[in-house]
Amino acid sequence: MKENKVLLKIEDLKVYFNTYAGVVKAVDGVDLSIFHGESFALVGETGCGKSTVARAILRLVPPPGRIVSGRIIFDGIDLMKLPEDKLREIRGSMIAYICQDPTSALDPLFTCGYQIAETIVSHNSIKWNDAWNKSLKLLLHVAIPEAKKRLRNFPHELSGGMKQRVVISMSISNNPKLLIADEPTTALDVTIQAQIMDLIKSLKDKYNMTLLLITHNLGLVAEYCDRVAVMYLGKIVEVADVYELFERPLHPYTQGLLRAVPNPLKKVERLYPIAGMIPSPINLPPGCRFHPRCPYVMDRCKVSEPPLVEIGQGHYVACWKYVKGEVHEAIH
Amino acid sequence: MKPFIEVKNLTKFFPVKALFFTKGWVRAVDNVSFTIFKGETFGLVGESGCGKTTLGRLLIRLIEPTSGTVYFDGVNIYSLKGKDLREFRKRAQIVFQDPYSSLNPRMVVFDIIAEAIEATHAKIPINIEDHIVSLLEQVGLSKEHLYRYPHEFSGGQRQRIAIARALAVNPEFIVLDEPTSALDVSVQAQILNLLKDLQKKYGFTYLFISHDLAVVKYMSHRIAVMYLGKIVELARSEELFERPLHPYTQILLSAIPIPDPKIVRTRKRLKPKGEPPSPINPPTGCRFHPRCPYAMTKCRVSEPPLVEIERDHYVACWKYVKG
Repeated sequence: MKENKVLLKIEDLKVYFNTYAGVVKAVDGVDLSIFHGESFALVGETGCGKSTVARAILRLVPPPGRIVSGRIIFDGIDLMKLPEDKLREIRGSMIAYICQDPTSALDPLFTCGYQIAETIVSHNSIKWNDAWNKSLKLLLHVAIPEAKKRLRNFPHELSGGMKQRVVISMSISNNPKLLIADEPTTALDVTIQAQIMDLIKSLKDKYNMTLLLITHNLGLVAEYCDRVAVMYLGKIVEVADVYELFERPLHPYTQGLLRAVPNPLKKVERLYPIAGMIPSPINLPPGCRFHPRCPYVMDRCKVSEPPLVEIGQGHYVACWKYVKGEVHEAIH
Repeated sequence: MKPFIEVKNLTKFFPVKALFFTKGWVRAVDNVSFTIFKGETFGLVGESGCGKTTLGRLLIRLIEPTSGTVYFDGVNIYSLKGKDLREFRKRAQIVFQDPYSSLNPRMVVFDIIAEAIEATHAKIPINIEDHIVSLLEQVGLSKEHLYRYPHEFSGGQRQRIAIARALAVNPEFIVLDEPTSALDVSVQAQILNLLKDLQKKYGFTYLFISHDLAVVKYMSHRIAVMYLGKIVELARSEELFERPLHPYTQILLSAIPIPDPKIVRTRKRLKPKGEPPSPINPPTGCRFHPRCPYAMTKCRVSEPPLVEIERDHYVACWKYVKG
């Protein structure tokens, strides 16, 4: 199923926010490749820049944020160089985006049917009535109960789970190649979360899409994704196949994250939290950003930033622990 | 073991008003009975809107019940008045979910904690500053934080302040209402460990409310599962996870995300039908029957009682009731 053809390539992406307190380097040099047909997860804690990466792909970074540098190649097209009107054609059709809070994603003044049909009409030359009929079909695809009635419902008449289903039906309305889901289930309960994630997975397989899942929930990553990138303070610290990452996490931050989550199937006497707290993104620590909290910190970590290097097959990590001397020389 | 807190037929309805009329009642907590023992952590899980927070607030009398009683160390807390009530407030404390709204932004840490001592008319220590510093040290903060405002702290640190405030009056029972759901995983583990350490040191009794089953399991000795205002299952925490009996508990457990791809991809997932109904007009009979995969005719008509199926394992489901 996994073809090794790159669908989305991000090179040296930097997104900075100019605030009164200083420059927040939300994304500071991210490189990523996402292959055709895979489910790729971007994991990290609050403020690590994972959502900013997702928004930068569609050039939707809200001010005062701006994309300082970087290239984003999607299916051979350089999205950074594309004029705004051409980019509009890609947003919502080739690349779809599901955001965290379905309540704010839907317009409270229009019916669900109107909003889905609007998405279809704006990207296709199609009559309004046909689009309306198509939106009924889409609602049936996302398994909303009483779909016909829901077309004429306003968003406030639906529950959180149903609203997210409406948002998902909008996102797949133009058969996108890439589906970006930014914490799609954070606002929902566990049983609904499972339903929504199963739905996204089945639609992904059915429509042959590629999924980029942004989340802080390692459990969802373990269940639904093929490859994972772990972010910490605007940098990617580790990329690996999902089985490899959970079995052999290399970066001390990834190891810490996995030890800090209680596993409900095991009897855990004590959790091992990561020491200290996430530093302010304005005053980033020099060298490796994780060094003030790292249990294995060395002198080298405090001075120079480790590069993301391939350690095993497809397993990349940015940590001096795994770098032999000569690479170190080469960097300096 | 003698029960420390005994909840009997506790009920709380909230009116749903339309203009001047009461349109209906939200049955947030509906005829709930259980006991909590001294020194244990009693976990309460359920999805949003199931009434777990209302139950927590009823137990320390932040709100008055519609009917029912709570015996705290043998005394009905709803009959307390004046001095006795203040005495009770010292013994029962709460840590709220959101540390961003539970701390007054205009007060420094010193005032936030001192206010708790003054409000309960607790004996004010001669050197209150030293006392507060020692409280802060117990929760992993220090003297330098004493005169800072809440906005200068991170979420995890704020929750530590809220915990220090609860400790300030030497309580015996603390309601922890989703204390870590606003925090990141690495910080969550710090707070959970802190709460465990404090319990070991002082022998606190906790009511731990959460929607995160993994966290509840880590913290609790016994766990009660709530669904639409009712307790549907109650058991020791390992027992509940190893042998869940109620269909809702089984569904809930099979939906938890587990951070291990090998296990999570081979497990069988039970699926509930539909979505949670509104608590305003809950379904007749067993409230879970419209979503239950095993629903029988009996379930639609009459409500199953919470009965002890095995030692210390209670469940409210007709499947397990003979005759």
